[in-house]
Amino acid sequence: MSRFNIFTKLIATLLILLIPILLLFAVSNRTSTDVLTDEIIKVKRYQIETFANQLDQLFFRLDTYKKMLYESTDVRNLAYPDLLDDVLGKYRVNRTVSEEINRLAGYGDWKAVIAVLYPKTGIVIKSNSSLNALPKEFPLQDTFWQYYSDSNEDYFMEILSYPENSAETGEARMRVVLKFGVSALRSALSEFKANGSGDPFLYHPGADPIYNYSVNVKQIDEFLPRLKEIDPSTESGYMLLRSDKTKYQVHYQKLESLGWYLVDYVPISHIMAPISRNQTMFYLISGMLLFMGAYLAFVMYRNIQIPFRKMMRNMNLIEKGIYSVRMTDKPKGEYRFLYDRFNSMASKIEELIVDVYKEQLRSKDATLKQLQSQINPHFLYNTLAYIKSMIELKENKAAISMTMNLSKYYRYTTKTGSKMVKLQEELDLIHFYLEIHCMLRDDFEYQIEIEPQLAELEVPRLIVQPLVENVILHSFNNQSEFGMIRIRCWSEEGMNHVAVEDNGTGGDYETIEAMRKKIHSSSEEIESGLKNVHQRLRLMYGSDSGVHLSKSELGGLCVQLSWSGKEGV
Amino acid sequence: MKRAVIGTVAILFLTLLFALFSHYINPGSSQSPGPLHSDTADNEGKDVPESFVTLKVIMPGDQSSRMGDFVENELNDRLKKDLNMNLELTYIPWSNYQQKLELALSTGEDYDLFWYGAPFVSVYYSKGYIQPLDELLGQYGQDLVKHIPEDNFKQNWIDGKLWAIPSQAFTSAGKFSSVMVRQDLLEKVGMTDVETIADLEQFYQRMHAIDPSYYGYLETDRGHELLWRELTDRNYSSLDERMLFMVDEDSGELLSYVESDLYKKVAHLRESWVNKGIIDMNLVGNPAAKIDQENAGKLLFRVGAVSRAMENLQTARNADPEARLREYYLAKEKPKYITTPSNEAFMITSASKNPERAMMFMNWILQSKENYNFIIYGVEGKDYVLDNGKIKQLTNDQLMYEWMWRNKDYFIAPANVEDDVIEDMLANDENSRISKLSGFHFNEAPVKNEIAQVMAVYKEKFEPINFGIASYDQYYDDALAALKKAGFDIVFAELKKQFSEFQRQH
Repeated sequence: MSRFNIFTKLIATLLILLIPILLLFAVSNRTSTDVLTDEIIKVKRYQIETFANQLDQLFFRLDTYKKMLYESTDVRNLAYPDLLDDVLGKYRVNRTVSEEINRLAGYGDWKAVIAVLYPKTGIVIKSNSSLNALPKEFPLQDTFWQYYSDSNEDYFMEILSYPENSAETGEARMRVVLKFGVSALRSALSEFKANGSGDPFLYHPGADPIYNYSVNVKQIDEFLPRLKEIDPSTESGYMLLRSDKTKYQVHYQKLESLGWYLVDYVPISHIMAPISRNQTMFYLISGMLLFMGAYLAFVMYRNIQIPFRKMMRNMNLIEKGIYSVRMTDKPKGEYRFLYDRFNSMASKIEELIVDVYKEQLRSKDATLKQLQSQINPHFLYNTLAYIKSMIELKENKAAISMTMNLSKYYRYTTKTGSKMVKLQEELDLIHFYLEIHCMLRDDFEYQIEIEPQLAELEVPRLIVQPLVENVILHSFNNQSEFGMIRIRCWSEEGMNHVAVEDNGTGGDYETIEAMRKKIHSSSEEIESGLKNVHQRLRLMYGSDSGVHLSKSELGGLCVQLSWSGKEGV
Repeated sequence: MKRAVIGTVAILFLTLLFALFSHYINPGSSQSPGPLHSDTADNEGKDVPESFVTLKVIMPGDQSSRMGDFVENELNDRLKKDLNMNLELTYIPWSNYQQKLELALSTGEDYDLFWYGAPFVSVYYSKGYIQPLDELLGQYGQDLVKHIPEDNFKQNWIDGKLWAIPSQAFTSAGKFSSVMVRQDLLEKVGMTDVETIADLEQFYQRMHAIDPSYYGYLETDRGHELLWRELTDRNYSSLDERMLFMVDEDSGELLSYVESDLYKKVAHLRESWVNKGIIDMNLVGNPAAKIDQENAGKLLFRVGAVSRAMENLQTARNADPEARLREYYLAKEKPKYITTPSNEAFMITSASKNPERAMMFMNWILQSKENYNFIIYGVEGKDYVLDNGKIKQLTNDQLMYEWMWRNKDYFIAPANVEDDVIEDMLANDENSRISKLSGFHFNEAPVKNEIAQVMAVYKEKFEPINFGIASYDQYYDDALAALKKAGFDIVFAELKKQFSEFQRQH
């Protein structure tokens, strides 16, 4: 079992859960970014194409005006003023042409200057009367939307001369001029900018770009060197440029009429900013999830895994027989309860094991004592001497009886093996024992009563004998009257009782208290048969079992054994 | 340790919440700087309207490139701050201003505000193009009331309601009855001033002898009244720029000008000017080319308009740095009449979606000298500098036309204009009287068909006579017959009826 088992497992699970989500997110994010970028490109392309078309249409429409004027009879008539006879007629033609020019110039939102020049008469009819409406000098050849720089205002101009191709030779009688100022274009660009996003401008290699009114010149200056790379033959396209930390899509579309490029750019990074912000947020949340997961795993590891491992270790120790181990550093919660239970279990086991050992020891001890008493030479000598004297007195019956009793007694006591005997057998042993002493001393009588159902009850061997022996040895020593021993066996309220009573001298209070002290003393040094019996009973049948001392009805001591009748403890 | 971890988790969680929802808690703070919030600090105590609007205004002429920049950047920034609005100007060239303006008004395009001459107020009122302004003026126009005299407002009262803001509040007596001459050229040919028509003719002849490229007389607007001062002993004022009717200021009688003897005198004089070359018959039908002559510094004289000498000086100086202009009244002992105290009228279209803002914008212009100088002259130090209390413009590009909003309380003389011109202008209203026509508006609605026909005939038949290229003797009878046929008498009768009604009331 590795040390960080649960911890690492949890982290691994979290990672296994998170990594596919992260991968999925990254993929979907990438896809949506791509789709969005494509969409932006499409939209921007559409915008810029539409606007370029508008501008082209504007210039082509102006070109149409030029042709309309060129074809107009009134306009041509003025080229030959001599043909118009009267002043009034000339005035009317003049006015008509002027009105027509003004009408044409009035159409549309972005104004061009429309003019007809008559080089021969020096007359100029034009739509705009402001100063610098027309350049001071005109190029000799006809042009189509040519760009001119001017100190006042840059402009595009186209010229058509009549008769055709007559300009360069100075033969032109009439020239139709259309001039479109850059400021009108700037207004158009500003309007386009106001309607869409972007920052449109017109670009032509070698000329100053034409900006809208609220242009970001600094930004565009950064693009200009790159715009030079545009292949002059391309009509439209876009390039990705990077300035500072922002990425730009720079779109361009060639204006057919002017030959200039309409350029507009989209700060793609800015548009994508919410997406990348979400992305960062998602990674941040994932990181936090991982952190929280790790923390949870750590908490679990600390609160479950570590106490559990301690418990396992102690279990192993118990298994190996070290019953003294106990759980320390009790944690809070369920584990505290578990630790308590473990501790009480361990102490109970320890207690039980110790009891068993003690009982074995005591049992052996009792047996040993009993054996000692059997081979007590005094006892044996007395009996043998009794037998000899009986034989000498020709009291054969007594001799035989003594011999029989002695033999039965010894057969019983020397029968080793089973620790438990039937109560009847124990009482039989007592009977023989008392019979022998009765013959030897002839100063007491005895009586044994047993409830029939108890005869078959199993009891520890030699559990009653020490009591009787105690009576024989101590009760009748300093006594002149005839002794009396009564042994009763009965059961009452689930408890079995064996009482040994006498009418000897031990019935006074001081003696009983002294004996009780001796019996209940835990000191191992004090040896006594009664104590031995008491402890054996308690070990075998529990704490409510034991030896009770009291004054007997017969006048002497009453020693009563009590133990629970239930099987096992 | 446990507490620290819980704290860390809580902080992380809160940070996350904040990062996720900060966008919604504080909208606009990162994306678009809220104009209201960012500027409130400078703006305490002012009532800045909550909603942002774009005010669409029609202006005459061509937008100068500086004006484009100025509106887009400085002016709109300022207006956004002060009024939470943007200005969008649509310029219509002078040459077809009326035509395009009326097209826009009649189709109900969503313009809010436009300028035109005061005579058009009653026309547009009767056509329903404009809306009454009394409530708006009371609510948002305190500074307009403060800086424009009450008399000026009166002329825009029709049927008890105000229909236009008389934006100019300056001297105005005898407007269009003076003549503006190139003073430098006048002195060059040994003359000092102009008192008679003969002086003008002599000026042309002497100048033409020196340099034939000079062009005599420019008439793009009414050029009759300046001649009336000498050609008649009576005191007449023209009803409007259409030159059909006039009022006798002494008798209070309304007269048909085209049928008068005075008209005949004017027509004959014009004819003689064509013959003398003062009027170039080749350019008569070509108004842009005529203005070109002035732009080129080739114009000798044209109709004055009280302050035209000041206004047109820059144009003349562009062509000729030595140019000086001055206005003269012929028969200067005759009184001048104030017909329209302010010829400039700003009107709010009936289709306007933001009439309140249009009024606020006009009020804003006259609110303070600072606003006034800003919109008219631009940024001090960049567009103009003040030199001895006179204004010196650093660019030739015009912003808001000064003449539109010229105000006696805010007027600053241009540094390059001679003091005598300024004095002339400021003293113009001396020896002036209120015209009988002041405050009268001809409601054309009852005779609008006749007027349309009359004007068509007038343009076709009378304008060539006015210009002097069609002989009065040869063409007048035919022209007048056509005019009568078109319903001239009905129009005249209606006009007389309304005028006597007006006279009874005042």
